[in-house]
Amino acid sequence: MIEVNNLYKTYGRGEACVHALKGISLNIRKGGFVAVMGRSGSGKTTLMNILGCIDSQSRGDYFFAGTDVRRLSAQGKVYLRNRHIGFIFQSFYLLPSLSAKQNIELPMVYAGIPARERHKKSAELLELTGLSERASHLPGELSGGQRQRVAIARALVNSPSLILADEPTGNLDSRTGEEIMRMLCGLNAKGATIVLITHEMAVARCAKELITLRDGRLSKGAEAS
Amino acid sequence: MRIFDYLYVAAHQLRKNRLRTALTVLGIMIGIASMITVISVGNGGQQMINDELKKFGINRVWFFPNDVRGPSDILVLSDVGMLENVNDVGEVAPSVYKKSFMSAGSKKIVSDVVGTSDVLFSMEQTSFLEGRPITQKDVEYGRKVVVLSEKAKNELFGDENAEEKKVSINGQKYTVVGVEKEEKSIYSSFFSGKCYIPVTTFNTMFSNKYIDEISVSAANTDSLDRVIENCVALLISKYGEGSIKIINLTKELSNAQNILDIFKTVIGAVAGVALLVGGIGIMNIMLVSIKERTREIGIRKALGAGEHHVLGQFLAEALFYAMLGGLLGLITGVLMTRAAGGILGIKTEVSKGAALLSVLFSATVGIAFGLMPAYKASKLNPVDALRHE
Repeated sequence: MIEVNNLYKTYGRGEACVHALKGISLNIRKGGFVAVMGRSGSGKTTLMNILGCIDSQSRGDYFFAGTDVRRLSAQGKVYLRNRHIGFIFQSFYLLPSLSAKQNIELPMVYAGIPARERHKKSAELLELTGLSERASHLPGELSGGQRQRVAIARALVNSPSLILADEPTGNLDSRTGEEIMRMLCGLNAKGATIVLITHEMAVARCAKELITLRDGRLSKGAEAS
Repeated sequence: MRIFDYLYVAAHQLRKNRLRTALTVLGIMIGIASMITVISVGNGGQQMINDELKKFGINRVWFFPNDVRGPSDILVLSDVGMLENVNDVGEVAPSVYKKSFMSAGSKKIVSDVVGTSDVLFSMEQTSFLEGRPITQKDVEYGRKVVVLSEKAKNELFGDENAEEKKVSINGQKYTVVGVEKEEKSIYSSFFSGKCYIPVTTFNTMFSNKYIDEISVSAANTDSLDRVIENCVALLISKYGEGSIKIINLTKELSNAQNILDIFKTVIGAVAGVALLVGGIGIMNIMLVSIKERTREIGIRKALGAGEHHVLGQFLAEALFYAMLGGLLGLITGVLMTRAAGGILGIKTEVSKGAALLSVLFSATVGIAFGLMPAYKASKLNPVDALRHE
């Protein structure tokens, strides 16, 4: 599903340059559930941004389902993000002026899916995430857990092959966090490939596989943070 | 994503910042409103000038004694016959004026009384509320008949018919034979509001042998300059150099036309500047809006919005500002045109062409000034945009 070879990411130039990733190699199988751990500044989010095709590596190869991402045009990456990748962010990143339902439908709007189909799909996902009652609420009128559920529904809406979750429980209390994790585990059980970024061991345990980033390098297995 | 989706999002954004939207729209609105007003009032003025030309004939000229030389002791009735014989002359009409007391029953007024001939009425294509013009026979026999102005008739007789009734002018009894219909236009106001009697009668009454003006029409428009030349030569040979003054309506009107053109150009330029400033206002607010919504752009891009989606969204917003301004400007322009028409007393109408032009123009301004900010937004890097605080 995902194959990463010797990935480097450098920000800035010369004296001031920062090496965020220093030669990461990684394989994630279809249906896998990988937790990426590490302290802040270890390069977790940089890795996720590159995997999610919203950032590009400085060196190294990245194959997504056999496609060399580096060779993709900007439009090709847009397509990949839209159809094959679902993002879940720590601070939800819902559009504040759109209702829960409209937020969920946004990726479908960009995919050019007709309104009737969009409404059907978003209704399904609202049902799945238990938000049917909140469909027309704005994000500001929802609790943190509800917002993250909307974000998850939005990530799922185009049936992506990869879900990238960057600290999905980071802004939530532990009980709500558990609820969100159960939801992700359920999705994985149904066949979704998930990459989860976290610095909480309890959250990482839900995953099938655990990798740790340390100063831009990979160290297998768990490490307390 | 369809056009409708873009417009929906744009409308939503604009509704969220009402004051900002109103201020941004104002510039375009002023520009379009003044553009429409200029075009419409300009066209109205043009139309009016053309109508005047048609009414009085573009082939007409007036000769007066040159007053500087003192009391008029030139131009007599026989000059009319003399000028009629000049080559290419169409018609020749004499006029002589005096303010006179008029009365009917207990009503008394003061009005301009003009001594003239039947020719004047055919030259000016006078229309009548009642009765007839002065005829050749009236002039020939020096009959005491009068054609009243609409105003004089109303003042003397009210709503009653005036035809066949008697009025007294400076103590002498006259029979009303007709009432002139008043035309509401700038040039004709010089001529209207006067009462007409046969020129022969006039000269007898005031023991006068001179006339105040002679108007001459050319048989056709092309020969007007030649006719003027010949008539002037004839009059000068009779009365001497500098004795005659000429008013050439065609020249006057072309002056008016020039003033109108200058007016149109100046106000048009102001309208253009207003539109330009309005456009810059839109661009400015778009840049602010994009800065404020950088994270939103990042989120949209992460969810699979292509460059064309972002470009389309912000262009739609700029277009929305411009079109809203254009629409409000169109409405304001129509109202301003009506007001201006009322004040200036000319017939104005906002043409479909002007309306269409203004809509196209504001759309163009929106696209032209929205393009740069929208392009900038579309090129934002998703990660940088997401990180933006």
